Amino acid sequence: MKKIAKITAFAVLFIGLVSFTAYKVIPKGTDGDQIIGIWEPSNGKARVKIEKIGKKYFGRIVWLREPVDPDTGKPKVDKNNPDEKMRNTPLKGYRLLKDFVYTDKNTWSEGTIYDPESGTLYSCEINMKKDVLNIRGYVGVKLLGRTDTWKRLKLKK
Amino acid sequence: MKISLINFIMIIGFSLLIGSCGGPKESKTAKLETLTLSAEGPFFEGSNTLQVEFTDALNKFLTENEIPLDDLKEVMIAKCEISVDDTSNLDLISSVNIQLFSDNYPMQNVALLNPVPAGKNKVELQVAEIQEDILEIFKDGSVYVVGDVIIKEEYWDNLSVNCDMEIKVTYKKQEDEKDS
Repeated sequence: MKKIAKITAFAVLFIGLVSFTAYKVIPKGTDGDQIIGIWEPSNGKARVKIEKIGKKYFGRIVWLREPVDPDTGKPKVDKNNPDEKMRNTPLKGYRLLKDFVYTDKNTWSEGTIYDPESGTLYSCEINMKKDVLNIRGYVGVKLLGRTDTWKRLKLKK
Repeated sequence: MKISLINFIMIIGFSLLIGSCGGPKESKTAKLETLTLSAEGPFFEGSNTLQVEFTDALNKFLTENEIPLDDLKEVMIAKCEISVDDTSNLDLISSVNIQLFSDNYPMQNVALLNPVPAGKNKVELQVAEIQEDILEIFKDGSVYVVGDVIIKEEYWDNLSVNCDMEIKVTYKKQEDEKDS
C-alpha cells in the first residue's frame, strides 16, 4: 500500500514538473500570430491583411470597395500623405497598421494606424475577442480616442 | 523685473546648451550593398510583399572612413533603384514602395515608384522627403527592407528584385591628423 502511495506521489511530482517546464518553454509570442488574417473595418470600405514581418505585425489594404478615385478615374492613391513625394502611393496595398507588438492578453500595442481620408497617423492598440478586433486609435492619451470594430473574414470552403 | 532676469538667464543657458551640442559636421554619400528582395510564389494580381533582412549596414562606411559610430548624426536614403535580370519580371509590377524598419524603430516609407514604366529592367524610385529614425534603424542591428508591389497579373513562380540604395551620412567632422 505504501509502495502504491509512493509511486502515485512520484507520478504526480513528475507530471507537475513536466507541465511546469512545458509552460516555461512555450514562448508567449506565438499567441500573437492569432491576429494574422484578413479583416474588415466596420464601414466595410476596405479589407486589411494582417501579417507578421520580423517580430512585428502590420496590416495592409488588400481590397477596396471603391478602388477608383471618382475625381481622377484612376486607382486611389494616398493623396493626403504629409510627404508630397509619397502622395502617389496606391491605397491598394497601403500599410494602415504598422509596428504592432504582441504584449499579452490578446492585446497588440506600440503600433500606429493611418487614416488615408485625413492623412493623420494615430497611436493604436488592438484587442482581440474571438474573431473581432477592437482597434483604438488615439493621440497622446489612450482615453481620448476612438474604437472601431473589425471582423475577421473567413474564406468560403 | 525679477522674472525677466530669470527668463534672460534661461535663454542664455539654453543657447549655450544647444551650441555645445552642435559642432562642425560633414556629409558623404555611400552605396549600400545590393539587396535582393524576394518572396515565394505563386502571386495573385494586386498587392504583394517582397522582403529582405540585413545587418551591419553602416560597417563598411564607418571602416572605410574611419568614423566612430557615436559620431554619426544623421542617415538619409538619397537614392533607390530596383532592377531585375529579366525585363519581363519588372513589367509584372505596376508600382513599388520601399520601406525600412527594425525591431525597435517604426517602419518608414523611403521610396516609391507609381507607375513603373514598361520595358525597363532598372528603374529609379522617388525618395521620400520626410525620413525619420533611419540612423536609429541602421544602428539597431537587423534592418528589414520591405517592398510592397502591385502585381499586374498572376505569377506562378518565386519573385525577386535587386534593390540598390545610396545613403547620405552626416557625421561629426573628424579632426585632421596631426603631422608627425
